[in-house]
Amino acid sequence: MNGRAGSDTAGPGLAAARYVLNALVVAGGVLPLYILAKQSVTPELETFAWPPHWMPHRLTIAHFASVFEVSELRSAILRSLGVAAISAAIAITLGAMLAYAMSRSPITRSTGFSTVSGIRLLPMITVAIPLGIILATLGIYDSPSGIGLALVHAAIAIPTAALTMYASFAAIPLEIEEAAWIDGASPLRIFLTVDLPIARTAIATALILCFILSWDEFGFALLVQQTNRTLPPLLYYYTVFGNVGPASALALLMMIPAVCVVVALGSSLRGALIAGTSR
Amino acid sequence: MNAAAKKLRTVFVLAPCVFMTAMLLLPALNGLVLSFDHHGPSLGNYRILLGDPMFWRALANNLLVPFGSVIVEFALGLALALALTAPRKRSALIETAAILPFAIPEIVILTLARYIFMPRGYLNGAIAMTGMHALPWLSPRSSLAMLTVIFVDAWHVTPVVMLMLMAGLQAIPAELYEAARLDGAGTLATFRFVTIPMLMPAIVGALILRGIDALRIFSTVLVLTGPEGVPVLSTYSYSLWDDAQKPQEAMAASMILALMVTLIGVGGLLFARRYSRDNGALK
Amino acid sequence: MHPLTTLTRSLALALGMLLAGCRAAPAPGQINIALAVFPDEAARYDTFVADFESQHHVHVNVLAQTYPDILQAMRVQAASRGSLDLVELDLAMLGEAHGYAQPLDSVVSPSARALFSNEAWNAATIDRRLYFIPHRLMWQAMIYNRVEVPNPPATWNDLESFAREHPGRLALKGARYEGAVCDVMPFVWTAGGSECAPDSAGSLRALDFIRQLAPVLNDESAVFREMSVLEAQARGSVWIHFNWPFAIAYLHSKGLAPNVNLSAPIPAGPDGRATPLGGGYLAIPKAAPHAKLAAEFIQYLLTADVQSKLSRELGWYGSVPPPMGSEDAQLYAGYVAMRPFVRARPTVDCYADLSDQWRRAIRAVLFDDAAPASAIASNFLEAADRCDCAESSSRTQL
Repeated sequence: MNGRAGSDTAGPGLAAARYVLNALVVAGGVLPLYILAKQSVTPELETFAWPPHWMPHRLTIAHFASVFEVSELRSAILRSLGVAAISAAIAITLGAMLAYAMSRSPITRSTGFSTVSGIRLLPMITVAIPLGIILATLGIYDSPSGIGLALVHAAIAIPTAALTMYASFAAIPLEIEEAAWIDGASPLRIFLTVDLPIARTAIATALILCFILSWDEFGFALLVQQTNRTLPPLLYYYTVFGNVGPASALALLMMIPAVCVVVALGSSLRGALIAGTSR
Repeated sequence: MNAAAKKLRTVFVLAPCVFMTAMLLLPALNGLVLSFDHHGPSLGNYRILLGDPMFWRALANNLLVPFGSVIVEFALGLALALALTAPRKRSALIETAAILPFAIPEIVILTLARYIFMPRGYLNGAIAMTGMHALPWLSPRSSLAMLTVIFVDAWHVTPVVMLMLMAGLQAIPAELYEAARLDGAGTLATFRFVTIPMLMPAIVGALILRGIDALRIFSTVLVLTGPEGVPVLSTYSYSLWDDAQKPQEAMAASMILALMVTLIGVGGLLFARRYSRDNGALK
Repeated sequence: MHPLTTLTRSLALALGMLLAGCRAAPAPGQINIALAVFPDEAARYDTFVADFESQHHVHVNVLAQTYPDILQAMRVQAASRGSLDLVELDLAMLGEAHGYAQPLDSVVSPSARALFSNEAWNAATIDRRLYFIPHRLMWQAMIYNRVEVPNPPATWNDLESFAREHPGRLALKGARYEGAVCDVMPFVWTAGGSECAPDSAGSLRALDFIRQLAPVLNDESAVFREMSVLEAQARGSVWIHFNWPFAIAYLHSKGLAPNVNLSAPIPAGPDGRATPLGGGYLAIPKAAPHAKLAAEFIQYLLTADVQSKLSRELGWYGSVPPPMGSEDAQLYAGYVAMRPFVRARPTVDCYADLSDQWRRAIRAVLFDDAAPASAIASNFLEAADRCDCAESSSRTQL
């Protein structure tokens, strides 16, 4: 079997080390979730107690209730959804175009690759402060719909989208395209009716990755949406303002999209993650 | 086919590149110009930065913290990749748990880390139960705080490194291991002479990518310690913009960060290209 | 699923979201008000405005943010476009912010004026036009843990003894924003100094005093802001700090006051007691989409009934003192005691710069062990270039 770093008959020491590592991994994944869950359903008086309570003594739904009662929280959830959806749609459209072009010619491949690499070198803070000024001039800074943020998220997601879809496009045999060409289809039509359907799994994966990228993004959201916030800066605000209960409830809610996706898609996602994050 | 297809390809590569350039590169260039605006064109903003002790601390930390973070995430990532690739039966549970820190939004992880590492947080609570002295994990300007920040930053990213290295591990042909076993090599020798050399391209590639990302550290420091605790260039720039309301100085600081990332990033890419060229010759 | 279908569906979803987002934009019957409140205060403010909402058939959308971010949003709105109809600003920002606000002389009636003192209105009047209305007036007091510190320190000497006996239990807000200035100015004032004269004997004496405290302060002071030091007090790692009335309200809402924490006067110095006046003032920003509705809201606020209601429901001690003998009186005892000693900071355009220089000097003394004289010398401009603030830090009658 490929990739075995050692045989199964290695000493019991190695097996024990592996067991400990596995236990740490599970603990590292599960324990934090438990802490958040506990804090979201216990009164803050308990959360502030010292030494900390490891098991909840009293339960309350007040924190989850406040998430749904406070109008700013509700609009933040909608805004995060909207920004993620719009930016993902733009990113996979432009990303598919880029990936296809990159897969069909060495010139476009190196152009695309250089642009993507160069863009990746830009720190968020370098872009966000002057971008805020530009968006303000355009009238879309801190907009209630979050459209300015959606455009930025689309721009930073295009590399991920393109690289996730690149391999699928590159793997399409040219003969299929040539057959369609002989039948009289234009190159655009070939792209839409021949290539896209074949690459649909990669496209769907890219869509999900771009959605989650926008949903999770904190830096630009903090600087571009100051009063009409999305969820990550709002969670930051709640945390540094000492509201542990609602912050924990909000944090749990924020995890829903990503955790669903990771658990449901399992190992097929791993391949895509590697492609998308290897950039 | 060729002419029409070429036109399509041109449009398909230009549209996304123009969009990305307009949204990201142009503002950065605009910021570069504005950073030289201090009551008229001058170096005034940069001079102010150079006179601020916190700027120098931020600069030093912006090299130390990413360096430490990359070491930790590669050590952990490699260990995890080996552990999860080796056994005959792969456990979906273990793999999912290993990926969870990556799936959870970074702000959620940082919120958690804050509650764990704060002076009366869960870690010190657990330590107090054993009767030992609590430690000031996030004490401003302490080396311990830097280590805590390094650890938390690395922990969130380790699954990504693990995935990259697993891809590299799985590409190593089994025959090489078989040959090593037949030659009588033990686990450690196999690791040294088969695994690591074959994995080097993946490691180098991942190092450059993660290294560039690590240099841009922002939210970890902001949430855990605040801009004054373990200052780095991005939080220093942010505090100039948000607390002090001085956008030009903030942009000057962010330009210095961009310069650092560019130099190290380009240097890394050149090194990788020469490395793969040399190694290709060896093969 | 056919990718074209995927694309079509996602674009449709995106379009739907965009339209939903556009509807979330200020509708005709909605006003946006940005306040520097906590999340749970925002929730209570939501309830408080229900009366106004039903009377005028509008929705009041409460946005919780920090003062600097609100000022930033206001600045942007004045230059181009924005969605804010009412903003709350800190007293210290009024000098700078009046350029982005609409004049309110016609909105405030004489009976409304009677609700607050002349000094409160003076701070809001720049170039003889009124730009702001007092929303809540606040000043700092000492918050202490009554279980660990049964007898709170009453003088500088007491404070120093406490800090030395219990290292790490006294905290100052030392982060790089105005909190450090608010904590240290009372010491400067009660030593006879002033923010306009950083090299005066009184100012140097005060800085000397806090330099002695520096080694025994809670070591997170370098990063503390109002909320982080308050959370540390709530968790019991800090026993004494200085904060605004919302601190007691916050602790009370978590069940930690009055049983664990109480308020007390700020320790007295050689020249008596002092505390900085702060507080939210409301303004109608330039280019507000619903300026008329915003003015109606202001008029609604400026009645005695609504002010009492505001004070009661939000627990905002300041505008209206709590009735004697009530639980609130016990909670806010420190604030009541400090009322005669409140001082306004100068309302000059360059106050931000002045405060910035003070903040750097204070941090140098506290965290870099700088001598006060050299900290002043290296962090303040030459006297000629300095911010020109009149010696106007007189006592304010509230």
